[in-house]
Amino acid sequence: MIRDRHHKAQSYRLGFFLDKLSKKIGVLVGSDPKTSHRPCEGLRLALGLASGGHQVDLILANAAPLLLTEAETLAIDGEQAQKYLHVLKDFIPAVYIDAESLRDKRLEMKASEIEFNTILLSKQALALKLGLMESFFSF
Amino acid sequence: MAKKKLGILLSTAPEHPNLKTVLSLLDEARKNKVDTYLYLLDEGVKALAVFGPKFSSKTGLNLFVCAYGAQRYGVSQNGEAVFCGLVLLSDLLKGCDRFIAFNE
Repeated sequence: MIRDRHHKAQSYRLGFFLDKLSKKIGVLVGSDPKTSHRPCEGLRLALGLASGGHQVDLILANAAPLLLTEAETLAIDGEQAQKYLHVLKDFIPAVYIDAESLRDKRLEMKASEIEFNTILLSKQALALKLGLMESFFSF
Repeated sequence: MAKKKLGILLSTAPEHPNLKTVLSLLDEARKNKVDTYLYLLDEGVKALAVFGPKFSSKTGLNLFVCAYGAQRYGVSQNGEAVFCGLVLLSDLLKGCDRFIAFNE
C-alpha cells in the first residue's frame, strides 16, 4: 500500500508537470515568531519552493524580522528556522522587510547579525510587489 | 482539449472557516469536471479525516498531505491520500492552471 502511494507520488513528479515553467511566488511571513510556529513553517515553504526552481520573494513583516536576528533564542522552532535560513540564503538573493514594521515594533536589525541582503520597503511597495506574483502564501 | 487543473493549499486547522470554503470549491470543481489537487500543509493535515473519504482518483480529486506536518501532528494514513514533501507542492504549482492558497 505504502509502496503504491510512493509510486503515485513519483508519477506526478516525473511525467506530469515537466514541461511547465517555474513561477514567481511571494511568501509573506507576518506572524509573531515568539508566539507562533507559523513563521518557521513559512520559511520551510519558501525553501521548498525556491529549491524547486521557483523565483521566491520572501517578505518579513510585523515581528517576523526577528527571525533574522534572534530566531534561535526567541522564536518557536527557532533552531529549525536558523537551519532553513542558512540554506535559504543560497536560493534567494535578498529578503524584503516591511520598513514600517521595524519602526512600529521598534525592532533593531544589527548589521552583524544579518546573513541576508535585506531590502527595506514601504507597505505600498510591498503590496505592489505581491501584486506581480503568480502565487502568494501568507504565514 | 485538456482538462483544467486547479491546485489548492490548505494550511489552517479544521476549526478555521477556510475548511468550508475549500469544501465548496471542491464541489464546484467536481461539478465542472476540473482536475483538482489539494495539498494539506501544517495544521491543515488535521483535516485529512474530513477530506479523506471524499477523495478518490475516480472523481478527479487528488489529495496530498505534507509528511512533515502529518508526523508533527500525529496524523496517519487515510483513504487514497498521498503523503509527500514540498517537492511535490513545488511541482503542483508548476503544473496547475490556477493555484489558490488558504493560509490565514
